[in-house]
Amino acid sequence: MEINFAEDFSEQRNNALDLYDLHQIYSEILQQEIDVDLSLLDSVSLVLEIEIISLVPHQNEFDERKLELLRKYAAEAFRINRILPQPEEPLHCARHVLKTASLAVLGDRGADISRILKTEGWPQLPINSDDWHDRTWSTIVDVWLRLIRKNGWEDRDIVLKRIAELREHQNQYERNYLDSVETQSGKKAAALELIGLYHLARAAEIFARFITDGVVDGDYQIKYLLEAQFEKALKPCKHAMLVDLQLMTPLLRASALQMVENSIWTVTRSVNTRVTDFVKNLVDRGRGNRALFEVLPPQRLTLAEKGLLGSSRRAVVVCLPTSSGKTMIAQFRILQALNQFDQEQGWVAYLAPTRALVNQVTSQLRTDFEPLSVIVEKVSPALEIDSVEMDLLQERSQKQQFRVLVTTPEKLDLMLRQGWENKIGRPLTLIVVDEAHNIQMGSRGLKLELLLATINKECEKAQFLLLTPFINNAKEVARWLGGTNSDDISLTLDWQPNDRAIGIVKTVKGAPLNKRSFDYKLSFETVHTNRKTINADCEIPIPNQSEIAKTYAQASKSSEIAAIAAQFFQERGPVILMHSRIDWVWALADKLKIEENRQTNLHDDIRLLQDYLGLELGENFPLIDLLEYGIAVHHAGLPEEVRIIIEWLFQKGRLKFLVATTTIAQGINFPVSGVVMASHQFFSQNGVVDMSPEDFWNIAGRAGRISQGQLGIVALAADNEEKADKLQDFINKQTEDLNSALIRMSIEAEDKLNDLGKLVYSKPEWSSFLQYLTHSYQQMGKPSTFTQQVEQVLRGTLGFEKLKTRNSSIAQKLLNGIHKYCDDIQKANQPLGLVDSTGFSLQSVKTILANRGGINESSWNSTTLYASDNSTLQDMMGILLRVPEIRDDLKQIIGDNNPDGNKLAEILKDWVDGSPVNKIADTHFDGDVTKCGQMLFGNLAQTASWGLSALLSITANNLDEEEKKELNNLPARAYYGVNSNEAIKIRLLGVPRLAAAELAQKLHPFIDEPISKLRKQLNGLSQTEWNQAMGERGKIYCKVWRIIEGIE
Amino acid sequence: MAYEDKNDGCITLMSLECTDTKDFNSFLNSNVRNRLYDIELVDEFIEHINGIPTAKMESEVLADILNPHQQEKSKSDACEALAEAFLEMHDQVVFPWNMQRDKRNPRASLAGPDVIGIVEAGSESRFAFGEVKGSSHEQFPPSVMYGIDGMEGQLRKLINNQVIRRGLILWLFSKVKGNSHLDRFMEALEAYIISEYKNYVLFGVLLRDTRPTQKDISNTATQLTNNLSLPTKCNLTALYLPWPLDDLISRINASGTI
Repeated sequence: MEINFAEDFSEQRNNALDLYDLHQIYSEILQQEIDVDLSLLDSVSLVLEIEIISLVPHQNEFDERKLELLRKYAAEAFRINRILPQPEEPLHCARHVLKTASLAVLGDRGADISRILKTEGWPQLPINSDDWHDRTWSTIVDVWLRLIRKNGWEDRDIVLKRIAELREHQNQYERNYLDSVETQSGKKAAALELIGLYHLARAAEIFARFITDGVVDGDYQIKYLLEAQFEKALKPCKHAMLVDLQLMTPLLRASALQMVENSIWTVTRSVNTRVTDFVKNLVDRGRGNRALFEVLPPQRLTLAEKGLLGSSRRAVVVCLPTSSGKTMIAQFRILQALNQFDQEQGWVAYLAPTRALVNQVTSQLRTDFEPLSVIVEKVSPALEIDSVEMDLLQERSQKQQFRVLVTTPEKLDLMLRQGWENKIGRPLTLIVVDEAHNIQMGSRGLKLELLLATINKECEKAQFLLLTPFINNAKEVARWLGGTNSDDISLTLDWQPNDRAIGIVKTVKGAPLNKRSFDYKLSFETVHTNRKTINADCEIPIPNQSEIAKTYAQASKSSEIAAIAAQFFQERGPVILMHSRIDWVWALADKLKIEENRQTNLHDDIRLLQDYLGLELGENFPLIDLLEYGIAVHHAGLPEEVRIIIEWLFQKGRLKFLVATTTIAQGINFPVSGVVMASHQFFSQNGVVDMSPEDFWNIAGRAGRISQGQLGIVALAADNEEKADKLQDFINKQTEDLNSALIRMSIEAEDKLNDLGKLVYSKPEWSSFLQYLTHSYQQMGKPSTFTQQVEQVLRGTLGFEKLKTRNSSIAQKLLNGIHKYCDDIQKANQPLGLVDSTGFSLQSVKTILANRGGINESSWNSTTLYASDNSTLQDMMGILLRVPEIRDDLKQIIGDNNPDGNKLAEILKDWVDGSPVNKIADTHFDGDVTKCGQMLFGNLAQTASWGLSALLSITANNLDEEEKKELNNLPARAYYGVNSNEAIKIRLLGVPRLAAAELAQKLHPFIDEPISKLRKQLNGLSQTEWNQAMGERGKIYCKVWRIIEGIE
Repeated sequence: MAYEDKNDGCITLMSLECTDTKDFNSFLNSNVRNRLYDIELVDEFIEHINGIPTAKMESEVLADILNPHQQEKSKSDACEALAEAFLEMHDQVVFPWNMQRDKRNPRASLAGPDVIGIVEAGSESRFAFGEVKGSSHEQFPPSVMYGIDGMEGQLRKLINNQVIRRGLILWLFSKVKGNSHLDRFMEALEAYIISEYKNYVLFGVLLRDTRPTQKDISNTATQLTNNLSLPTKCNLTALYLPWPLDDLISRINASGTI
């Protein structure tokens, strides 16, 4: 029965919701209560409740639209009820809370209400009263609130206990109560009410058993069992005026049924035993309060409603906002794939864009899958495969074999092209691509796209799961990989894990301080966005900070504005600040070094990082001092380990500010209370570029600590009106289609497309495309008709078809260029195989061959290569400086002015030799430790190891497998910065560079064990043993390692 | 009609003397009797009792109380039935269900008023709330009119306590949805909300077997005037029966089958 009543009141509803937003902002940011128009709120809540009462009994018949409507009204009513005053009398109040909680569940805000009930609770109720009326009512309200709260096994156990107690005492108290009711009809009413309440108790009992067991007395049809009880609970209301029961029951019924839908049992129903085992683990009593009984709406949508687990589609694209629980979604999908190919011991590849994310994902998957005996391994992002990794990949013992491999797209690409799927000997069954929207980003993006295209063509059993923030064309992307055997699951922008307010911060001139300068304050004004953020047309004043800026003029700069705003917002919790360049990041961090922020009694955890920094980067490294003020920085110039520890410190609440570059900010994986942006752009090869909408919203998604129900604040600094307008436009930029990088590249290169072989020298980003063509040619068996067939090959990419529709003339030019290139590669005696083994284009391979000089097999000597008195490495670097794919990165390290191999070789040798970073900085970078760090971990390690590995493939081609395997470790030394094979193995286990050699010695007896066994040994070392190996520093490194591996 | 006092203010007073006429008696035997007894109850009560074991809470006490053969009626039941039938006929108050089905538990938080319905005020529907009292007390006004539990106190509670009215309206909605009274309800609701909860009608019905006098209800009217403001309206009615109140039930039952 549709009454459409709420729509007649839509203006009042919007006003009420605006009031709610305003109330939230004042209470969360300014910690002030404002006066709200209670009568408006109350009447809107009445309208909504009427509407909900009319909709709720017909839930089962509803279509998508009606269900959405019910959800919307319930969510609105929930919000409004939160700021309405509560009744005073405890039982009334508790019933009111239960109503609010039911509305929350119906509005898909179950996580919110669970958290609220955990922190706020409800009034004490007379559960043990002698008065049967009070006792029964109290019990019912109490148990249902617990069932909605689900605070682990504790709540569930108490529910069952209370209901048992109710039964026990029935005989004792029921008669007295009924005797005490005066009239005959009063008694009848009381009796009927009791019957209703007893049925609600039974429903609670059924549900409590269900949430932990998934089944009740052998019956899986939970909904029927519950419906039967709720129906019997409502019937007595027909014969007596039982207002409370009448009002409470339908809502309770609806929310109970919704909670069944949300239950992890329902969502993963009978997929397979592995999944069931996983669920049992998640639900297990041993997890206490961390037991997971329910899933979030995005997870429910993806797993159950859209059936990600039910059908095995070849390609699925899932679009989710941050903090939607995508890891669990991936986990279920992974288990399903493993089950599908259990016989063949199939494996799954999980691709993450950065080393930090690879580490994080590995750590989490390992923890969660260990009880299921599913082995998770990672391989380094280094573009070479050392002997340790080779052993790991080719492990033959079923018990030790990895089932999930986590790494970067580039690494997997190299592995597959070097024939590793065969060498592993087991089929690749599923590829999970995290942050899949990176496909549109430059050359890395194109590489990812082509990797997926290649896998699609060559790995017979492979299926795809792409995880991305919201993109417009998810269906198209899914179809690209799966054709009709594909699906897209896009969460609409309606559901957000928490409330967020986005706004612009400006300076406001104040009273004059003297003849020339003025006082100031800041104002934060929320803006309307297209993403359901909170908007209250008001200006929040932010007080000045004279230690940061004294006058209006001083304050009116982006960095100052950001610092002052951050100082203010930091009172609610840790804040991330962002700027576009590393040097500006340091400067911004400095501004926060004011007395107010200086920490008294620095925590041991922070001292640990300070000690570690001193050892690795030198005593004068500025971050050490910043930490005294609760400030940390995050940028490419810091070693990976340091960044991981900083994140760990934030998770533990030890720090107040994190100042990061806009590029790095994307990789931050922990929630903060606010994000303040001094810049919304970042520097790239193409100059200054606005952040993409996906990246902006990804970062914005970090604002607001969900575990505390916090309103997230995102503030952008505007130093003048014009900037404020620009920022407004920036914020409201619509997400566009996810597009292949190929399109942009082709349009830019228009005139040069006819000679792709030449183009790659000036535009190395074309390398992966050329490699794709070369690889395809080989895979197809080098057919003489390749040129004619190449369009077929191109159809496997995301970009080419789109380019044809968008810009047919450029597409044609590109096609012509491709035809010409294909003719070239078909010429005789081309070293095509080396393209796949090196990851360089054919052009680069030929350049190396032409310039190899005296480099041959004997050049690869493990004792002499990195020795200071040997010049072979210099020659090698000289060759690499000619290779388009890596030349620009190498030049960046030594500066454009003297591009020769000597300086590079010297730096590399110091790095491999174990020289600490600050020493290398002093010798080669004028003491600039930041620049040195950036060049070493952010550049040299990757680039040199890749280049050397490629060079090895090319110049030592004729060696046998065993010899090659040994020598493969030489490039790996460049990656890890150590000088022995044993140390490499230790580095693969995550041990910091300066500890690797000594730990390798300590673990010498076990060094040849498989990597998983070696990890256990390392894990088992006590702090004393670390000290024995390394001296006093040992305990620092021990702790650091444990934090990095996620053990701490 | 003994007297009537309609003013332009909120309160209307009216007294009606009922005479022992054929019309009155047939009114008692049909309209009122139908409100007092409910035939369908028997089977449904048995159903309730049979359902209890599924909740694993068996109880003899409950079975006893809900014994469908115990359908004795009290005097106050009868007064309410008469008042309702009267309001239905005289004031066009609509009761979308049989209020006799709605026994009230005195322990309930919203120990509800005796009258909850929808009245046609002119061409517009409004919510109707009210109280019914019966008294043979030789005091004018009788004691049932004053005190917290008296008519004045209970009406005042309805006027002052918006939360109570809200709960009753929601409850009323659950009774009208899905039947022909829904449109009227929605009209009444809209008027109620737009007026910031003021547009509704209160009814107070006093049943007497004494001689008619304005004093029975005028005092209450005066007291309540201070609490009321338009658009809220209040109708106080005194009905004077031609025989003792104690005879009411037998009069209702006279010459007719249940």
